Amino acid sequence: MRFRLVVDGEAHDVVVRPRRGGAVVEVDGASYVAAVGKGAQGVAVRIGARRHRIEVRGLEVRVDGQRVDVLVRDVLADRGTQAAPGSGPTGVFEIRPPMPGRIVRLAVVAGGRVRRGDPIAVLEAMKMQNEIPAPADGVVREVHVREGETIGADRLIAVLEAS
Amino acid sequence: MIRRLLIANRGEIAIRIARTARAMGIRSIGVFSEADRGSLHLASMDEAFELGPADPAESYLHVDRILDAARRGAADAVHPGYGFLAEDARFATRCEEAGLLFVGPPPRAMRLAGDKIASRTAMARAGVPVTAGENRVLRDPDEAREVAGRLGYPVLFKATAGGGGIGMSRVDGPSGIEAGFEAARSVARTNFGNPDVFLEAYVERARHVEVQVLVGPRGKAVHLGERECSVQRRHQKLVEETPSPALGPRQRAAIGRTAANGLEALGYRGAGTVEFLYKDGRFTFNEVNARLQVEHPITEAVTGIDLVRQQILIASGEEPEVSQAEVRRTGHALECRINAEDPLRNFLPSPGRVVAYREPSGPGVRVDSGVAAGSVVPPMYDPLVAKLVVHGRNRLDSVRRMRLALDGFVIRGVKTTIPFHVSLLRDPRFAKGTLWTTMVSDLRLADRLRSRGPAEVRVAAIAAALAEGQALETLAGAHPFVPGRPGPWAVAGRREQLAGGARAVPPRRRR
Repeated sequence: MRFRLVVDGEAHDVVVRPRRGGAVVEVDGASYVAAVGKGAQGVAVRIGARRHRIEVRGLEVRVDGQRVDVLVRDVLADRGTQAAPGSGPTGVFEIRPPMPGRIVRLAVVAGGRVRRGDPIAVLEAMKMQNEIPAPADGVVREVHVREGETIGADRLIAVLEAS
Repeated sequence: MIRRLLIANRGEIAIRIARTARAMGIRSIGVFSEADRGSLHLASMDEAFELGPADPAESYLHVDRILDAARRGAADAVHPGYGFLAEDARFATRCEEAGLLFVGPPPRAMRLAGDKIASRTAMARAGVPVTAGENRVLRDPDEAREVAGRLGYPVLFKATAGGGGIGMSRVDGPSGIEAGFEAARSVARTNFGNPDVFLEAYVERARHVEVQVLVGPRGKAVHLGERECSVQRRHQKLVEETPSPALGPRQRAAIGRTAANGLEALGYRGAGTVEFLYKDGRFTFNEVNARLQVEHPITEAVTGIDLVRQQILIASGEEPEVSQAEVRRTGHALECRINAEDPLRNFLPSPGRVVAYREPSGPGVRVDSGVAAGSVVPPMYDPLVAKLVVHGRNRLDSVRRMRLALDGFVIRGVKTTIPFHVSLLRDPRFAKGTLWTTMVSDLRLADRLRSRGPAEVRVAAIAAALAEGQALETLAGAHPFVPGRPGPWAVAGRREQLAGGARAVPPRRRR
């Protein structure tokens, strides 16, 4: 499953894929193998050489005895982007920027066809230009930004229907 | 003598300049864009004026608005910092026309330094060895192919108006010339408004070694030793140190004298840097940086000389405080640039709000920072948020101090280059001082990173634990702000108000 986890005010995009004895956890794209077990108090988690004891009581979360501010948002079962056999990714993709920035170039129009990897837009942030690629072959259903516009990280750039 | 100095910049460098101004009894007049209304640099200013919208072209690059702020603030001098208008000769001229002292080189020397072909020619005439290349603007790919054939591959396209590592394009054989030529011209046109390019021989596995020079008002130059800045990604420096592990005393004296002679020949004044490529005991001229550089604090650490103070003295017509014979260097200094970039995602920019911030301290540790808890790192400016500088007895000592300092540096809310630096310092080649400009990509130093550190491991552990039970649903359903207990965001916001904002700076009375 996939969710936003806010720990002490810092937000992270998290994916948890359960497996025997624990889970593979992705935090903002960095992957960790976690061994999860029931401890005397709460849950014991081991990642590499590090061990943490996590207790959850109602809304209160304690890590190694210390109270930590934890919020969970936008819980999703894994997105429908798994590949159907032979046809590449399918479904509807909401394309959002990896970070806030300015759209210096918009490479698509609504109704246009794109191939996977084609640029959707070029986003400039901190004096660097970053291409935002199409995640799949398909048709651009909606475009929500204009060239020259400055957008936040949660803005929808375009909607792509894979086909 | 300067009484009121307009600092035409933002972030850590504006704060750093204001610190020296204060020490010299000079009032600092700050400027800021809409995006920087709550920025930390405003708290260092005696007065500050808003320039306009966040877009640099509408604010920090807008000459008329900056000159207007100088007039309103009754400034008598302007310090441009680095970046933005620092090397814009037209800006320096406009300042002079407005009766403002420009803390930097005279416009003519700046123009010469900014034109790569002109500065190569001038340096060669002054007896400085210049990197092999042809000093002419290339008209088409055919001409480029002909020149490249004479130089021998690989070659490097460079923008004549370029600098800061932008607009360079490496070509390994004749078939790549056409694409390289067009790419270099297009980047040069967008970034510098001038598409002209020329060719240099590409020096593989070279070191980047530069020399800090001060040129007094009568044209006498003093050199303060070298800085090695070979650890780079995409031609942008990440780590700098002095002395360079590659140079001995004889080479240091030679490269220093050469750089000083070169700047004297350009008619340069003030603080300037001459960059060289260094390989197999041979150094060749690369470019002149006509400004105070990001990495100037490491030179300050080993010489004990305040470079901004020297800049202000020279601009006021006084000689620098040290003669060549008085320059003493002690120990070794190392700087790590802390950028708001994610080293785990190919240094992807990571703007946002800093929710927690703690600086390291200890003997020989200096932090020049532009942020505090609650600061916003806006997406439209440079990613540098802080510079961590350590000074040790020798290289081993400063590497050890840097390791501890990096461990003690906490920045949450934006991703930073700290984990990269931690890993770099562990690399055996870095430890031995074997450095070259493409080492970060050649050794895939960033790709080897697997984690952003212990804090992230803790987050992963929390995520794994929550996913186990029913806790996820309960927590997801909860309102984010529990009454009676301020959330960290609220605390961060309060700190931001304390840290600055236009209204938090009491305008002092003008004299």
